[in-house]
Amino acid sequence: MEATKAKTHPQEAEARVIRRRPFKGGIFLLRLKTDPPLGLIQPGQFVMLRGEGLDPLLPRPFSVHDQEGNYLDLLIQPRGRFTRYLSQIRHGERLILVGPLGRGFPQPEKKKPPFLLVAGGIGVAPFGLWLKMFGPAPLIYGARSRQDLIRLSFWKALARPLILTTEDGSLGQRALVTSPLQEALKKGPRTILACGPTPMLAAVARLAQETNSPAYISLEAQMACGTGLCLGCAVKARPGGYLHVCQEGPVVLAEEVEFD
Amino acid sequence: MIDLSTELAGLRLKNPVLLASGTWGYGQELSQYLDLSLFGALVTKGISLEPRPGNPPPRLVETPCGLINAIGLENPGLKAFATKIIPYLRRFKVPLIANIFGESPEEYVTLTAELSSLVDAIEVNVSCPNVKRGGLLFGSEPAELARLVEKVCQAASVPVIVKLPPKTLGIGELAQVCEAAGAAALSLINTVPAMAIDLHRRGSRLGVISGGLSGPVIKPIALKLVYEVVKAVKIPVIGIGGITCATDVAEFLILGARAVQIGTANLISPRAGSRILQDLPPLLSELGVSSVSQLIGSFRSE
Repeated sequence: MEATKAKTHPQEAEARVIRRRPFKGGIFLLRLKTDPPLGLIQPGQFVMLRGEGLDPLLPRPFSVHDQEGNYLDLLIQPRGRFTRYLSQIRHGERLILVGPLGRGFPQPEKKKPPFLLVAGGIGVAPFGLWLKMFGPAPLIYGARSRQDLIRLSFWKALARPLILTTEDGSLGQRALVTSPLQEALKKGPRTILACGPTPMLAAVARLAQETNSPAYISLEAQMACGTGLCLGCAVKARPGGYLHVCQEGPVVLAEEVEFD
Repeated sequence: MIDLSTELAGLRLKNPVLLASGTWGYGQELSQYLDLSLFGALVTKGISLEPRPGNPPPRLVETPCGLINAIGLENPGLKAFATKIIPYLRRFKVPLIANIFGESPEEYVTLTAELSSLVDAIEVNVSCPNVKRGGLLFGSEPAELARLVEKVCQAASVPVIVKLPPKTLGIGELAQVCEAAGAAALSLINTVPAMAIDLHRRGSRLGVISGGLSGPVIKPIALKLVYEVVKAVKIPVIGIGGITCATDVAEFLILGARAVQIGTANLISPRAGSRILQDLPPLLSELGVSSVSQLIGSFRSE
């Protein structure tokens, strides 16, 4: 089982804003219609998105949250100038998109340990497409506080079960996602799929190693092109050298990554 | 019909738009988006004798209208380049220019000798700002640079292009020593040494402290330096620096550059090069010329 790459070739497309739906905590869902259509996206793959001007200069990577025909949904948390711009963008405005890019999460296979999905904060985004495409699986979804946990009815409908954690205890278990993960792994090895902040991924990688569970993690890095041209998105690899997040990732086996 | 062809160091190019070293991988990724045979020539990513893993991350920082990179010349080394990459790129039937980088004059010479039979020209990187050892020394000292270029030219059986650093004082002198040492052409500018600070950590936002700035922010610097170098030498000049559209190409040609290289634009959009080539003929018509050669060096200083 390997991280998967779509058979569809990536392309540059025009993306029109169809809808911007705000959630709690500033997070919003951006629905885009691409011309030409992108073809089938693998859960965990990403797209590069930019405006028409040169400021910001470079496109930004976004994980695909959902895809329906010519439409694709991105789940975005405003952090920098471009995401703040997107948080104000209006219906009909034009963006430029390149994708689908990178390797996505693996799909279920018989004779493999059952899947367990682990998401920290906005890292929950790619699991929308995964659960829709491959059917129900347990999802552990954690964040700092209840306002950071979004689309709960959406996740309830797709995940079985949905386990929520918050650091302040305002919703679900007062814990980090690794607590329920540790509990679940007591029942035997699981194939873990994880997306979230790097310290969370490092903790997931440790637990996976201790329990002989394969873990696929979705990495983040500063990117310029997203297409393998610049070699800028390097992360330290095990046993040495570097992985390029846009080409070898963003989804990689946890054991391939050297966490500092 | 607009004639886009240009001549450079004995190479006849079908148009003046080249892809700059280090900004388009080795072709396989970019050829998913456009036809690499469209371009006047391809300048391959900097090759060293031995493979290099590159610098520790973070390797990139975006600045207003610019990009600072500290990739550290990650590359698979001469052997893999010669056996795997060149055969792949040859299928595009377009002149290949190999960009080389050594840690000593001897390494430059070996690379040049080995690659001369495989490519159409050599571009010598004497000034990559984000590698600790090597090129920077050659690029800033005229006497050192002259000795290096002379050795490389002696070892070469194809034209040698020297890629100059963005030296804002005395770049004319650097250009002249390269010309005297046998360089067939000059390309400029390489990235501009740059830094970005992380306030909270009170450190650099790059893994190796400093890197090289590229993108539209450096275009005015590049224009000025191309202007200086064109005045200083007779050999052809290739303009590089922040070119993102056909208008930018025309600006460098007007100053006297015989060709240009596009770099960061490829990272902004993998189709940037084909869009620039598409927009160039109508722009030349608008400027009242029917060929690239009519535009080259048409700059009026008064």
